[in-house]
Amino acid sequence: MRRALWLLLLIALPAAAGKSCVDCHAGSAERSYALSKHGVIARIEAGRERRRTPDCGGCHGYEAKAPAPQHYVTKNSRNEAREQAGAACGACHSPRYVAEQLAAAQRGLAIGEMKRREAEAVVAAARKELKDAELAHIESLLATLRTEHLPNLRLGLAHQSPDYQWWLGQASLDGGLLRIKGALGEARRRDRRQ
Amino acid sequence: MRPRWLLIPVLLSLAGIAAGMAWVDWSKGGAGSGLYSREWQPDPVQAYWDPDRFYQPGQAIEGVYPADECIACHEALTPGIVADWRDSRHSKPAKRAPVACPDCHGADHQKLRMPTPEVCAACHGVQHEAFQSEKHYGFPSHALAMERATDSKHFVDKPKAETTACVQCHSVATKCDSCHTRHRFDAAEARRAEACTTCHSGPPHPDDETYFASAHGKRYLADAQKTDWSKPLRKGNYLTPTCAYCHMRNGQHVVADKSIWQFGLRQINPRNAENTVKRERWIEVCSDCHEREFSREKLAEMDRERARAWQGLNRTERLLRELRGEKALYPAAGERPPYPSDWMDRMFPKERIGFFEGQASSFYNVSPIERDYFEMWYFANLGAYKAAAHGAPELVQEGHAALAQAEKSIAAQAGQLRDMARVARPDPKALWLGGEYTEHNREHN
Repeated sequence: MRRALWLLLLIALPAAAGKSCVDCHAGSAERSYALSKHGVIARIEAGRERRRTPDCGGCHGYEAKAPAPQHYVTKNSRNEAREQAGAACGACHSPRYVAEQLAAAQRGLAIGEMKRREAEAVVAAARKELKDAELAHIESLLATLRTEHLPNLRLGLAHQSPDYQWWLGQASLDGGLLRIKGALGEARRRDRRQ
Repeated sequence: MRPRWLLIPVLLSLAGIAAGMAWVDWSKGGAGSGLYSREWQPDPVQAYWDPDRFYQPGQAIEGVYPADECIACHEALTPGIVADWRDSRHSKPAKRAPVACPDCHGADHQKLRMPTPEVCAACHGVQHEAFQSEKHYGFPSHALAMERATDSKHFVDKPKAETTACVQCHSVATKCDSCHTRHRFDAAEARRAEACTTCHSGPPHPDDETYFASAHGKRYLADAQKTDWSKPLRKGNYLTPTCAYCHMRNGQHVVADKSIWQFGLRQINPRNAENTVKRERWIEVCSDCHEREFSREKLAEMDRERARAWQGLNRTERLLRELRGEKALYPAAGERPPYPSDWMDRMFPKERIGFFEGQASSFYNVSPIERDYFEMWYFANLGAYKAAAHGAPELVQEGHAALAQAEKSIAAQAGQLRDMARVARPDPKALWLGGEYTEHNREHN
């Protein structure tokens, strides 16, 4: 009951306050969309009557005008969100194109997950070997990889922002991974010298 | 009497040149594209970014259709693109019949094509010719962007599911709708500053942030919605310059004809004959609004900014070369994964330090200090360069602070590496040569 109340508040309050999506989802979520071709066109053509490209609600299904405003997209319903988004794409893109893009995004994300798991395996080894002071740096690198680089990749793929996919996503994951390995490698060498 | 033996080296050289050309030709005949086309296969979505090379039409629908039938079906199936086309000049040109679906895509549904620049050139010949002329200037240029991407080591060697973002931006060479988005294809859209930001943003080329932070950009943001963007990019038509106004003088489809500093990627001589000509071209552009002396001084300021940046970069690059010479880099080239397709790297492992050794690929499979130098060169340096070029002094300061910070931290790491140079190196296999992604990449590129 308490949870349901919280949920109601979470949904109803922003809608009642006339808030837009980016009031809460500022930062990477907003920017990765704004830099995509969809976002660029939306920015250029703001104020035109016919909207050529989808805004947040256009894909994610948040409909502020409906009688009961709803967030379709929660952390537990990514698959549902993806299906909804796929349906939205069809207004302009062919089913083949949409399927190819979604499949490519899955493959891209799978690569990112491989990098994360490789990094986690290295950190697991480090936890057994290193003292707290040496470990702290490695843990913070892993945290950044998980909470920034990987989400950036996901946003880049979903919103079609090359910058978020590549420099802030894949290439940042590469940097995080090699720095984690480097830190453990250096610690092992220091250990040998003593 | 002529010495006949002279013929031998001449004939040998001729045969060598012919063999070389045949080899290049052969190397371009693989499943991928470019010089290493035999080393990789494209991800399926690459067909949409490089349609001329990879696109295959779908076979689901049979038949040959005239425009009105295409529209009748697609009005229901994909109403967005039909509405875009109706809004475009293609649907209602002044002095000719409409340019409709079959004119660009073909009429046979099983042989449809994704339009390439050559398709657009049938009507837009002047723009296409100007665009192709960029190739004379080499890279960086839009016209050579796709070749540049697919011929680079990290593109060839990375899993192709990872590199789809690369080809999205580099498709500016292979599709016109990077800038004039389908199906409206509006010149006015491409004149807007935002149009370039999908690709010209992010750590190595923050063109968007630096422009929008400049006086030009601030005025743009204030006035953009009330400006008439249908006017040509000529003197007097606009209150403030946009990307295209300066980089595509008078709307000419050439961005490479004024590139003095080569994207900030390498140190150049700003006063050589070629750059003197390019400098005059810039002054010509600026003179639409500014006095020539003012522009000349601004460009000289840029020369000084670049010289300052390269002092630090060159010092740091020297330091890295010294570390390489002292065998202090850890892991060294032989102790970390080689680039999958690089047999030279396997036989003669060598760290890539500096622009001419292919440093652009050295952001992975390298030691942390090399990655730090890569970021100093590619992120901090290019950030400072873009800020200086676009007139955002605060971001120039920020960029130079980042350069100084990187130099300091790299120097400190170098000290530690030297300190450890003689310590036995732990077996690199488990740490550097193993791991889920590393092993996957070894087999998949």
